[in-house]
Amino acid sequence: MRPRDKYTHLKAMSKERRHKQASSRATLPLPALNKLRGSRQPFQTLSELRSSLPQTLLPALVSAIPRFPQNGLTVVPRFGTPFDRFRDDIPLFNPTSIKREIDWAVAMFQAHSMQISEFVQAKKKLEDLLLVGDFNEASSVIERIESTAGFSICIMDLKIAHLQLSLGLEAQKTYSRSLAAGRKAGMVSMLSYFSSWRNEETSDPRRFKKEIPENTAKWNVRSAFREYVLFRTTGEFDYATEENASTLLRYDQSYSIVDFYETFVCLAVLYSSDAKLAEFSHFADRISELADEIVDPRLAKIAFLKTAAPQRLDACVNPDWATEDAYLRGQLESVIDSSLRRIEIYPGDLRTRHLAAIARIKLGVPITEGTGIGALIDRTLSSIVSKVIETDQPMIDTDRIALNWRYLGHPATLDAIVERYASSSPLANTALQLRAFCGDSFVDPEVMTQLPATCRSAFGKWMNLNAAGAIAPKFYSSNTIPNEETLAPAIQIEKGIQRARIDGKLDEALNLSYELNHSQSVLDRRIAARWIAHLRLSRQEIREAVRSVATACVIDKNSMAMMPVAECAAALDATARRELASDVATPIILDIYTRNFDGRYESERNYAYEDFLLSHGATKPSQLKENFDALFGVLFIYYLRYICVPEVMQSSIAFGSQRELEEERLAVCAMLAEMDPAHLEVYEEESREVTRKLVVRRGVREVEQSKIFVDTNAIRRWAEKNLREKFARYAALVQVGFDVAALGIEEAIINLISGAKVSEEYLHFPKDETSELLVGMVSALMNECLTSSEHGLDCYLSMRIRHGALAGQLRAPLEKEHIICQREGPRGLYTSNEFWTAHYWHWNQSDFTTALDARLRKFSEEFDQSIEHFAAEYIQIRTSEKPLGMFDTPISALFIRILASNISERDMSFEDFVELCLSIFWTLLGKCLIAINNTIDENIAPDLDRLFSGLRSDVRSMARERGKSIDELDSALVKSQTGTRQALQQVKSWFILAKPVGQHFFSFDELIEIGLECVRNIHPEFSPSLKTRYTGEIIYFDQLPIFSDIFFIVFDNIRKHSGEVSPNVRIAGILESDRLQIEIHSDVCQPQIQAEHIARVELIHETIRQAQGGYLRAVRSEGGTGLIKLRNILRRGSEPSHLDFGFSDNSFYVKMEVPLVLVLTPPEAGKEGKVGGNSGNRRRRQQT
Amino acid sequence: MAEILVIEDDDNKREQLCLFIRREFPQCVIQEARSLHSGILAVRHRAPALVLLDMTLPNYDPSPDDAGGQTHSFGGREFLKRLERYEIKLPVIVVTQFTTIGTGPQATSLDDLDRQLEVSFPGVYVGSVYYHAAIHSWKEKLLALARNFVQ
Repeated sequence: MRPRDKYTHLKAMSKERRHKQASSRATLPLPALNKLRGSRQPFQTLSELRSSLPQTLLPALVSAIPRFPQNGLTVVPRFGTPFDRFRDDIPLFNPTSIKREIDWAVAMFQAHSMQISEFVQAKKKLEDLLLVGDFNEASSVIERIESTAGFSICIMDLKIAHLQLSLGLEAQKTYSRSLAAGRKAGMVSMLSYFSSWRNEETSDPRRFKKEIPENTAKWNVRSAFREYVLFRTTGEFDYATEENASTLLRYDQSYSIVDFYETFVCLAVLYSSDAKLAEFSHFADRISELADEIVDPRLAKIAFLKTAAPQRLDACVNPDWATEDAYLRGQLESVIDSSLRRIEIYPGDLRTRHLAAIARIKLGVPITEGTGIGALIDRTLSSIVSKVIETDQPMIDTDRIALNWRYLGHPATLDAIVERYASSSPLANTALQLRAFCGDSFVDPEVMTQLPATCRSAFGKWMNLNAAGAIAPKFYSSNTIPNEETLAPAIQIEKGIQRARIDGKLDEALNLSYELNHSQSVLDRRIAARWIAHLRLSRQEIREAVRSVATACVIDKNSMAMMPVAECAAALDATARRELASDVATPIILDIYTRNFDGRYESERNYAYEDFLLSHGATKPSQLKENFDALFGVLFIYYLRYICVPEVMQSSIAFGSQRELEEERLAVCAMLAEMDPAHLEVYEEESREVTRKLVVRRGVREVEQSKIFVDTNAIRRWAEKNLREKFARYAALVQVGFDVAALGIEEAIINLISGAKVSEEYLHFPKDETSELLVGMVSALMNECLTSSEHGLDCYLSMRIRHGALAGQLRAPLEKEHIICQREGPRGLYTSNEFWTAHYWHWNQSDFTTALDARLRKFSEEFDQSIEHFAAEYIQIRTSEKPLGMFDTPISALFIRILASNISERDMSFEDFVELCLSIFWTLLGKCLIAINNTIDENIAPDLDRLFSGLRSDVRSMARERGKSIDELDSALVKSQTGTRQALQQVKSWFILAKPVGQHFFSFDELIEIGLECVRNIHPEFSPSLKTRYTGEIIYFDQLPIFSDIFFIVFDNIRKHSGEVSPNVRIAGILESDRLQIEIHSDVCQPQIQAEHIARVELIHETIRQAQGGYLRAVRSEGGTGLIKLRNILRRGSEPSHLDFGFSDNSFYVKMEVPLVLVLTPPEAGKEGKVGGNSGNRRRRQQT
Repeated sequence: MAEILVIEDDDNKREQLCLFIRREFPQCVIQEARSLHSGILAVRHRAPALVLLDMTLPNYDPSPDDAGGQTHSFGGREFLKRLERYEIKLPVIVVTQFTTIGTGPQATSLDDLDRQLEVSFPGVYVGSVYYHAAIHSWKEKLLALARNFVQ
């Protein structure tokens, strides 16, 4: 029977029955009727009566509801109310039991049964049109529905989805805005807003479903309202709570009758998944009655579950027996042919679409392109069945369909189909299958096994009655395999597995599963592997289960979703891991779980990695090379490729440093290249990347450790020029007996160390010409080390710590949480904190946001001042101008005497004298660094803590005064405070004396990456897209700190000027003769190139032009662009250099010439004094 | 002679802890480790009477050539897990400078972490002490906890 015939037949039946029932219905007793008619508060009276009257009188009560609005207000929604008269402010009835809500709903629906039947039919028509992509006709149907049934939330939701699909974002937004226009903020405005957001093409349905509960949890509303909004926006609610179901019905009965009806049916379908639930019983009890009056296959199916009366299923669409039979016989071409015919008539038959998808995949036939939801479903099914797409997109599409079209019938069926491919169990999910069965008008013959036992026989009878001669009814309604020779072997085998499992013959089921595993079809093999794993686990055969799942996932990684990875990982407890330590499948399962699910078993994965090695007599993977033959295979390759990576290996005690880890990975890559030549390029690429990372990390480390730096080579050159002559004179004076050292110096040293009294003589400088000469030389050298504007400590403190790095490091955690405001220029005011003021804007309390903004700006100022004070007063060379400066190297009389004694006794050379002075300098500097670390711990950290505490306390009390809480802001403040403490720890690590590292060489590209990494250490969000080009002879540079200073300044300027976090940056290096030309161009957002930026850059040019020898000024004025400092770095070479920078054609550029003498250490550094520009200085890398 | 193992990467804090031990438990030998890795090596080769453990630790000892690898926000917890793995039972007191450990969704207050560790490592985890260079109350709390294990 065609559905339209069925519908006409049922319509006539319904009309007849309704007349009969209307005549037999009880009438409302007069007192109740008078109470209702005479009430001044008819709504309240109705609410009380609907709870107190016997159920049999509810239809009479519905008939007696006043037809006309009182005081302009309707008491209950009326069928057909158009949008302009639609009210979303009708009060809610008093809560009552779910049973009474159902009774009330049934009474309401019975009163509108004809109209509801028409609505259901029209909605089905709309669904078919949307599936085939006839959007114009779909628009007409929506209009017709709204003109007869009136405005409803469910049709509004479908209309938004339809507009998005057919006309795009702008159309759906226009419609959504039109709904809110001219209305007070109410349910319609809010739901249309959420629906519009959800339907945007870029919305991720999973994130939407996660965000909405998080957002609504913050609303200060009744929990019932929140539950209702969640249900309406995400389709989800906690149906285990009876109260929730009655809440939803209570809310929806106040909007529109069709919404009320759709929610009622939706809840009934949800509860149909568990016939044991009391709620199902309440619904089902009344639905049989309703199904007699309203033509809706969903009601008929629920009534069937309750009564097991097969004739109930006559309201549904018959299965497509031709396609079903062709599928069972393995006649895949026929499946495709017959499915096309079927889908033309019944576009919503997802069972047929599913079988067609399987047939197409097995035959390798591409799907026909088309528009509409049907085409999207076909594409999604193809992707999910074949699993050839490695992204999550098909599952996202499924979720999007389920969410945005949930008022239609097919999404529940799609959900149930997809679940078969996303579940690790071969057993169907009964709840999902039953919901799909009840939620749609089609019948899937496979649902038979999921039906309650009471219904199975009736279902079988119904199938057999409706499919004369077909084999599908026999196949699905029987536990045994029909005596049918033409069944496809794979289908026969799987049926055999199911039968053997039910009969408890697990050996037989397992044997059949292995047989199926030999199928040519990937899909069949996946099904077989899932059965094998399931059966092994059910027999507690952990080793075999783990091995089979690991093998299936490694050989066919797309089968992962169908494998019980989580179950296997859970089964690998400490005992099992010990027993299975030598099996490579053990770490693999734990690794697959960690990569694809969550980090619950990360430690266990790491331990299993190590246990596997130990059980094979190794501590490092590279030691397994000797066991190649025994271990060779896909699983071992997986182990080496994905598990023997630094992230995992670092948990082993076999490695003592990050470098050892990386080098081991290189060894593993070499093994893999040999074992798995098919992926040779991958391993070679990884090896190159690991090597590059090693070089960059070493470079960054070198730069980090060079923040406390003195260019000792330059100091030696300075000493050569300025002190050699004095030293010669001193030596001559000593030779003729004018010695500063006195006898007994050793005794004085012993006394000093032991704490005994040191003779007064040694605590004062000797007052004579010789001693003055020595003190003068030492003081001058110390002074040069500390204050030289070109190579002294102060120059590097300025460039590497005070200039930007310190503030950047400490501000970064606050910027991440949007706590700190920006300053407009070095002495400007602080800009508003737009993030947090906008965050609390919805409180509608402008005085709070103004006060909050002022407090955050004040905090920002205090925070910056605190850092600036630390930099400007403490991280300084101690002078009369900077009395708090912590870098001071006072020369004591005892030191001078020791020095003099050393010179006299050893007949010291000038070079040794300089080295000894430098050694004393480093010793004294070491003490300064300890003092700075203590100052950070004892002064700076508590100061910053106090600022945070004050801010937290103030903003909390500001909110408290207004009866509000500021949990998010408080949490951000705590995170910022913790981040600042961590950043301070990092700052402390700058103040150490680096132990000398060997001489390292870096290529031009590596130097750029190191410079960038140094900026990214402070501003991790900065991620430019780099293109580098190098022209000229390939050489390697060893003066990393100078390049690092250059690129740090350049990248920091790019970051400031580009106006974006990922600007395109082009860097060209050209080596010509004795200099390296570097050109850097960075894209700049147009609004960023403003007059003030250009003026500022011009000012810097002018400063550089005028500042002859003005470097000290530049050193002392922190916080600028750093370009002046860059100029001075380049000037350090003995030859003239060139620097230009500015804005041009939407880009910021820096062009410079770096003399090679500056960046290549000459042979015998410091001894020859001068460096030529010849190729003799150009080092090639000594390979590591 | 009883040994106390101090696992701490911050030189100043480690020095302060060592000073504290020397003053309060002069009879004890102090052993020092600066990373998760060296801490684990230390307990595998010796059996200290007590471990003072930092929570945020680098994987390896820093060297001129190597910054110490990844820094684990919950390195102390990882250390306790390793004790469990190697079946080593030692009393451990966490001494941290942070009131919130970790960042982002993993951020955990010291109080919460204290409760978690108590449940996860019974019989090993003794308690936690909030260390602040400028506040001396940490010494009293640490003394009260440590006394039970070092006489």
